[in-house]
Amino acid sequence: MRKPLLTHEIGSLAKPNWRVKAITGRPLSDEDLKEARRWGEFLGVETDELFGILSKRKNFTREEKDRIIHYSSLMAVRLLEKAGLDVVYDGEQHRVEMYEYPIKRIEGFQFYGHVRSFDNKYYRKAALVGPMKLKRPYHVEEFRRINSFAQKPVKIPLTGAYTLVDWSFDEYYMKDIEIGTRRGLEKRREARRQFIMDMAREVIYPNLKALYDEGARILQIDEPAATTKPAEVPDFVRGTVESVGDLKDRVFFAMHICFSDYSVLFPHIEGLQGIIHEMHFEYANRDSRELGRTEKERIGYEILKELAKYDFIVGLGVIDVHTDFIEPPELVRDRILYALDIVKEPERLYVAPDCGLRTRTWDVAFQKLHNMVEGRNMALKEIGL
Amino acid sequence: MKRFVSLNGKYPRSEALIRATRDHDRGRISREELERAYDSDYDRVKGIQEGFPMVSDGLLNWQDIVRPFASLVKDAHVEGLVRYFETNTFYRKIFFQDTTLRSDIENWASRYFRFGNLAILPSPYTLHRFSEGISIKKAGELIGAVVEYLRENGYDYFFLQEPALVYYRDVAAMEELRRALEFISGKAREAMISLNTYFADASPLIRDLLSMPVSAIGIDFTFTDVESLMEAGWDRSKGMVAGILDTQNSLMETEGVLRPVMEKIEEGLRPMFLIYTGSSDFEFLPASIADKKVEILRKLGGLR
Repeated sequence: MRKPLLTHEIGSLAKPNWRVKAITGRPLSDEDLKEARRWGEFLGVETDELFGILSKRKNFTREEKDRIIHYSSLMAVRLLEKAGLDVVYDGEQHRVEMYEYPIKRIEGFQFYGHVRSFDNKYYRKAALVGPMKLKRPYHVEEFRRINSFAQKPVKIPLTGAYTLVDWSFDEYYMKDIEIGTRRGLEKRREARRQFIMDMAREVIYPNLKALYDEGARILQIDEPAATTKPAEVPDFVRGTVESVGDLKDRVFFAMHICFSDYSVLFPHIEGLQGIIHEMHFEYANRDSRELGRTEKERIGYEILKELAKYDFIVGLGVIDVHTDFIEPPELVRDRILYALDIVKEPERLYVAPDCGLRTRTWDVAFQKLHNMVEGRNMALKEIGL
Repeated sequence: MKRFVSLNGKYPRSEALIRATRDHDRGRISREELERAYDSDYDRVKGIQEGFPMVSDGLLNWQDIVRPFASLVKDAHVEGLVRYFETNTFYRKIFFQDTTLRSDIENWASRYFRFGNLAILPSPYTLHRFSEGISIKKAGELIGAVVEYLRENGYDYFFLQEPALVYYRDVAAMEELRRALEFISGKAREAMISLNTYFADASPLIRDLLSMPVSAIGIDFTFTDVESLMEAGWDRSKGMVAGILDTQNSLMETEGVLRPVMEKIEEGLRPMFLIYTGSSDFEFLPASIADKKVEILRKLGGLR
């Protein structure tokens, strides 16, 4: 997968109201149906079957819910294709989110309740209470379905070993380890390493392998927690190497890390060279909106100078996912050309949003992605490609 | 040596209150209904501390450990999210423009200190570090004003939460912090003040910490080993708030897990008094798990 300034998405898109309400058992409104029709027409998706189902408004059967998810997946893929992306996905239309969905599919975990993320926002947190075992690979059916209708290559994202461990309690490896003593603290660190390695070996690798066996050749490992505990970055690296295993030469692996202090990754990510092919960070969120290709305007891209010393393809976040501001193509172009000046080779620079666009409406997400592709095309033209 | 037990930091909201805050944010329930949900949860937090000598309201309506201070002064606002040390929780940085105290401290305190005799507040260095536009000295003055008001209104114990100092090992800030703590101590009129460190090994700074003008130092024993403290030596005129229950993990501590550290603290360090508690805020646990950990504390305190 080597194409100059290739464009792709990063993960999530919002789930349409008609999909959310149907799955959660709330009745659909006229507005929801109108929205489904509008996007069907815009994206060229034949929606007669969908409308036949949605017109029930409530009490959908299991089979009907599955068809509704099929259509939200199809429309999300078409949205990305229409925006012009080179590699597509369905924006997690099959999933709840990136933690609860995988954890529910691993034996040994038990959910306890909610803990605060920030303000009044909470997430459900689980504990590992027994030996870990993958019930069955949990993204294969999703890949099969998306691949059946996608007109572009498909990338499947998957939450990485370190993040699943860091966002969970541990009652299994930590059991009976004393607290507050030198010996106890060292054992706790060792238990943590074991948790990460077992998650990589018993859960992540089998998932990646199953996707490979099904035909997936582009996989993205999401590790938003990678830098949370700087002292554990070497463990995160070891866990990733273990997760990828013998697939490193058979699959194109992207890694996505966002909203982090990237400086703590260096020099440890040297150990991911040859394992992970594309390293994607978020930059636009830290950047100015001024046009220009100097450090003065491109303040969000400082870490690139460090990352470019390694042999990864640079995944460049050029779209801020936390605002409805629609980046003009010229701003995207300047961000790309500034980065290209550092990375040098256009084949080593891929273009994407900072993160998943799930907090934006489909209208905003489409406009942002469309402009991202336009900006990429302007950059290609300027460098004569 | 006297031994006590207490809560530490912010206490988790119940699932019912979490639902109520979400419903209120989305306009599904009224302010009055939300307040009733809070009242019910305050009763729960009060109930789990029955028999504790030090009682906290759990800071249930604090969004993070510094946020209420944005509304204590004439002009300040909060902005974007910042990771709370090495956790998956985030706080909002305060930008202070005018740190003049608002005249209605009474209303402010009645909102953020609902009951009890133990007030849990940020320490001046952590408030300074989590904010823009406020020095350690000024932070000390604000906290001092709150301590003075609370002291006059029935509070006998003060925990000053100080994770930042040990996490960043900021030795250069020690003197300014010492002066700020002297100011606060003056306002506390002989109430017990503990400077609670957590999220990092306190042993490299322990000599400096023990020289601070406070009654006790809080230690997070999920990061600090007791042998290092023994090597450095403990000042026996100082109490200790010993964080020996891991508030970052749901695993329930057994006697076998706790006994070695408790014996070494009590026999090797011999602080003037001991308060056993959680390693940091209990809020990192779901409420049902936190409540069970408090049951362990009750047993340690000989309360059941």
